[in-house]
Amino acid sequence: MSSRFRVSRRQFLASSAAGAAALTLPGRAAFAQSFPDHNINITIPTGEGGGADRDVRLITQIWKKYLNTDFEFGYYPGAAGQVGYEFFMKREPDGYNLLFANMGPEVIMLTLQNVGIQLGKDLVYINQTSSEPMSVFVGKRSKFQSLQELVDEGKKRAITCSVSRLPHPASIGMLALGEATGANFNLVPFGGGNPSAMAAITGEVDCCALPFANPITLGSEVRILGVFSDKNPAPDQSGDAPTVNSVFGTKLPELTSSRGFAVQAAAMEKFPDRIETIKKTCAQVLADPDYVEAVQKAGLPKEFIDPGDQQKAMSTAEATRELAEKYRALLTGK
Amino acid sequence: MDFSLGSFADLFAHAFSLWWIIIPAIFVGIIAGAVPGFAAHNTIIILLPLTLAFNVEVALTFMVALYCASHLGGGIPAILVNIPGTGGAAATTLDGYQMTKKGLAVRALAVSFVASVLGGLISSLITLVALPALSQVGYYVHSVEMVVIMLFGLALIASIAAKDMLKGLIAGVLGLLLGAMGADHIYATPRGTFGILELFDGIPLVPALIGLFAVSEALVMLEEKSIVEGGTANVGKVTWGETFHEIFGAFRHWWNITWTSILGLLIGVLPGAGASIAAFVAYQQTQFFSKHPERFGTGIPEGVSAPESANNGVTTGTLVPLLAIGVPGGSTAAVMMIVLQFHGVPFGPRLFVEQPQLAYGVIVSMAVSYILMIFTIFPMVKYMSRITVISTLYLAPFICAFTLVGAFVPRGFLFDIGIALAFGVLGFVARKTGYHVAAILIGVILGPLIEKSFLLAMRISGNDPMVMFSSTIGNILWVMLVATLVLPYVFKWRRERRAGLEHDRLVESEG
Amino acid sequence: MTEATNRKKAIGADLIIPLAGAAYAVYYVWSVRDFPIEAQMSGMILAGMLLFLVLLYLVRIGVGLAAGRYGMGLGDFLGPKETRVSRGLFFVLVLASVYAIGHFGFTLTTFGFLALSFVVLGIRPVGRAILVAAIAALVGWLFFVVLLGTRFPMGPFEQLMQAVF
Repeated sequence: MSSRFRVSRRQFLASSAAGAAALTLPGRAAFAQSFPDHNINITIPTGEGGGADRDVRLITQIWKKYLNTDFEFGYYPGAAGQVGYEFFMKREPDGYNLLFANMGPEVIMLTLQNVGIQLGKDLVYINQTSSEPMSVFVGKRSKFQSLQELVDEGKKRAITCSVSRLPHPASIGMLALGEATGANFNLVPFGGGNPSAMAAITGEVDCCALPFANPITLGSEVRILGVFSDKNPAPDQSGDAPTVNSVFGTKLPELTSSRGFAVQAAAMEKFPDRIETIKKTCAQVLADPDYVEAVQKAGLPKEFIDPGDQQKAMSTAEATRELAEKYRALLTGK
Repeated sequence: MDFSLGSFADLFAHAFSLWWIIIPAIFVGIIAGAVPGFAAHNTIIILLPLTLAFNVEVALTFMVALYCASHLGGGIPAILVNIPGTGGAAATTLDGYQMTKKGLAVRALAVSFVASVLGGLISSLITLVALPALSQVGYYVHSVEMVVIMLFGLALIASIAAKDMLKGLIAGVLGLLLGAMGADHIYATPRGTFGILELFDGIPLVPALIGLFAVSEALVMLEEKSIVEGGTANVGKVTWGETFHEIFGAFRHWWNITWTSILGLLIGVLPGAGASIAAFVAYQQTQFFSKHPERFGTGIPEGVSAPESANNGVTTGTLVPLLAIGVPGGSTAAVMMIVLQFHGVPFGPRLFVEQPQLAYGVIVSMAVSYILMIFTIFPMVKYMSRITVISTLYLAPFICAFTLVGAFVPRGFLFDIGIALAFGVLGFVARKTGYHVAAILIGVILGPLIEKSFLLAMRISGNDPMVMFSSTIGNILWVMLVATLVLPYVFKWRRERRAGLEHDRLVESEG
Repeated sequence: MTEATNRKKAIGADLIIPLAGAAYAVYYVWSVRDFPIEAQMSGMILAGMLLFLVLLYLVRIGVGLAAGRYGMGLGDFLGPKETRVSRGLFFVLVLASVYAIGHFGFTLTTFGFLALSFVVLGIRPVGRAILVAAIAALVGWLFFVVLLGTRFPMGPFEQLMQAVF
């Protein structure tokens, strides 16, 4: 049997004791620094087991090196992220509560739904940890070999395209592609990356549009037809998929979704030093080779790691907000 | 994916050597399954720091053993105190609790455990040999077919409501309307939520289940001293001989267990479907094929074996999309995927190419977990049934104390305890006035799922309602559904007619 | 026996669910009035079905009332008379515990709720009721909070234990 099967009972007892200690005695390891002196809570506005969950666990695994604390995760999916954002705003603005944002779709949600949270005024994206372009792909059994074939067919009939939800950069990408080429795309929101991908793999829909990491982790089960950016950041892992603009000579804007942390504006005002610590140590994580290795181990291209400061994160958010306004009618059905 | 018989033997031997992790996982899983609010995926998330500390194989073995055991655990309180530990065990209450009320708790538990273990074992062995074929099911069953499959579950409302159809339908449709609360599937706009943020994602299932079954049951049971009809005097001490007699006797239902576990497996393979759908459909179909459908709901063993073997058949099924394609089919599988990613293990077809011993090892661990459950759980039947002799004066406060807080666990909102209480009052009123709580719950569970599949199918077709009859498999399922709904009445009519003719003949001959 | 069967069937309580359901159906329809058709469709269909069924039910009740088969009383809705007070108090304790758990945490609330409930429901001697409640609360705390690390509502007891260990 392989060398993986080598945990002894003694090791198990030792590790479970350590695990139990870690679980039951959080914050016991008091360090000289004053912040943080207890666990940091991270609100995730999507479900467990999704892309944000995966990313935030990879980051916090290394973050413990720089911030001597434990992290607790709370998942608040619902209404395209609105539930998570509203709950986060009710949490104490003390720097111990962070939100891990999937900025693209969530900025669109904040723009289109009457949430009452204003970016900059109520909530601030304090950094950017990764960004990935949107992509369009088909299942491996699909008859479509290229994006050109898909668009040509789309000029004859409506092409069904599974998306995670309507207020999403990938949905905007497909609508923009349809507008630029005259193809007709019928967007079908499956309510999450996994079911959307599955619909394309099993042939329930013609194609699927999701952030690039999704089809990359699916490997040979899918064929990536195009990427909504100026350059394919991971050609080796995507069968050298072309950019959408290079196929059609169009000038569609880059459609990316960045992930990063956010805090309440009140926390920035009251505890600027704490937020500074968060920003500084998180930047150290993103530059840490162990983090890069962990990302690659999880099957993601290291090119997606895209550290950015508050200014970069907020300007990305502003660009997304403008796009959402442009496609408001199509995305809301009103 | 070639694997010899010898390799399987190695895998089994190896899985048995992990007994020291499987057995604690079984106990944690059974308790998690039995206490509403925990279930497998919540518990696995809670224990994730511990799980991530193990090596990947031990972690996966721990998770699958816990997962399987939680499905078995859910049936225990369903039988003993009419409270399903998980949504998958809701159908078990229908006959399980009736058996307990008649003083047959030992038999009900024995049937439930044998059905769970045998059902889980059969489906994991089938998965082991037929994984590639099973992974194809998802290619043929899409949103249209899912709508019809879920309608089979919904049809259960009709049979539950047989006593008073109008009241049963009101309960079922009210459940469906409550299930339609929350953000819609296309535009994410919140509906019927009274502007309450906690309801934007719909009625949370666990608090609804806790309220409808646990809180209302606690309030109703206090009207009697004992939950057993005629008092605890009817429940004598059970000997070991009797316990094993009941356990061996439960194997009589092997045929029902076999086919309902396969049904569970097939439903489990479908993304988005789950244990509750499987259990409802299995119960409904078992009643349909039964020679005495009218006895369902009065406390018969088939009413326990069908949902229990089906919801354990689901366990292996939900792992199939993750293992074969790389997309998790349910929440527990999604959490397992995080563990695989964390350890840098590929999933989907690459897992079979790069680490086949791990891929098949997961399924073998499931089979072995079920085998080990035989030795750990079966003897407990004797002691568990003693719960029914505890006075309701103790039981009711215990139930409220430990289930209401369970409503808090999945989302961490104090508000959810309030939802459980509100559903508790609804459940109390329903029970006291002849509306079936199971009918309401079926609506709450299946409503949003049917709506989602229906809207997806409609949108894919460009809003053509005829899409519902556009696929061969879908049409076959429709015919079966109509037959399921209509034939029982035809058979009943014929039976009554024959009985009437027989009666006339007797009267004539006597005359 | 004959007197009991001859008495009118009390259906006052039977109306609670249909009427509450109908009220929610009307509210639901009102809440989706401005939404796109896809968001409205299923709710409208279900609300329509529910209102129709309730109407049928009301007709049935009306006919029964007119024929003198039904009466508007509550019947057995509140259960046996002799235990009504203790069960009513128990329900009040359930409500109070839901309110208290956010302030006092899982362990203390569970202990208090169980002890008071046992006493109210008539478990004697009182010492046994308190002992059983204390053991149950502590076992619950050990299993759920310590062993599983479940994030139950925290209170003074949990915080004290965290500080001590």
